[in-house]
Amino acid sequence: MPDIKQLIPQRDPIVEVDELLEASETEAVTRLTVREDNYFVHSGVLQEPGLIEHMAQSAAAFAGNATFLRNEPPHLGFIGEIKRCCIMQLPIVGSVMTTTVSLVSEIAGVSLVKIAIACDSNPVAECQMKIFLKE
Amino acid sequence: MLENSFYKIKECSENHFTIALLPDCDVYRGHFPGEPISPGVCSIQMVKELMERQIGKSLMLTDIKQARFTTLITPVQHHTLDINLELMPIDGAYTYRATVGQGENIFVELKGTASVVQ
Repeated sequence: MPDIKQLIPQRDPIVEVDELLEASETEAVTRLTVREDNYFVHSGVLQEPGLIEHMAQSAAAFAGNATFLRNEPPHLGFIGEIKRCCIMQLPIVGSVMTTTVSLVSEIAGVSLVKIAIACDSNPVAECQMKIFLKE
Repeated sequence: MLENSFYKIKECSENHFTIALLPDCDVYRGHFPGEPISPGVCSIQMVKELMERQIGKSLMLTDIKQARFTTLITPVQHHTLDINLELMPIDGAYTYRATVGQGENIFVELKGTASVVQ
């Protein structure tokens, strides 16, 4: 898999995905290890915005992989809507999060995805997200 | 967490806050290089912090029913923002509705339930 910076447009200090592990046309798996210097770590715990940004960037990496295969740079993407976002726990520093992105639909630059984060197969958070890609 | 780095409170009354966005916030180095756009998740965190301030308790955003982002917020175009909060206590949690915008124009709308953290 290509380096994450070839797949997503975000840069430090707000890179919330370490790598894309797998990608098909409809699904992707990403990973992030929670480090002390993460922008959204507070009191040794990754806070809600970090989890949500990680989910959004996992979707960005999934979309970025398709554009990478077409030899294009990643497009800027913006969250249009988040629905039914459940946060079960806030992972502590050192946790390794594995995240699955499933494509529900993609119409005219708007993707609807379902995303779920797990740590050691325990659910951490899940949501549905609508993402707008800037051409 | 983001107060005085991403935003600064200018005015607050019972259910309403006016904040200033801080264009020098570190987050804009990466979101995005040469094109500063306020991350949607920072709006969510800002709303959480303002709700915590309003009720004097720590919250966890356990259930975000819906968050809608209808206008991109940038620190260049949007120097100040108005945040309106409606909170309702229900056993150990609060249901909330919050808007971020300017006057009548709503840029972000959030609805959900947040648990009180002991």
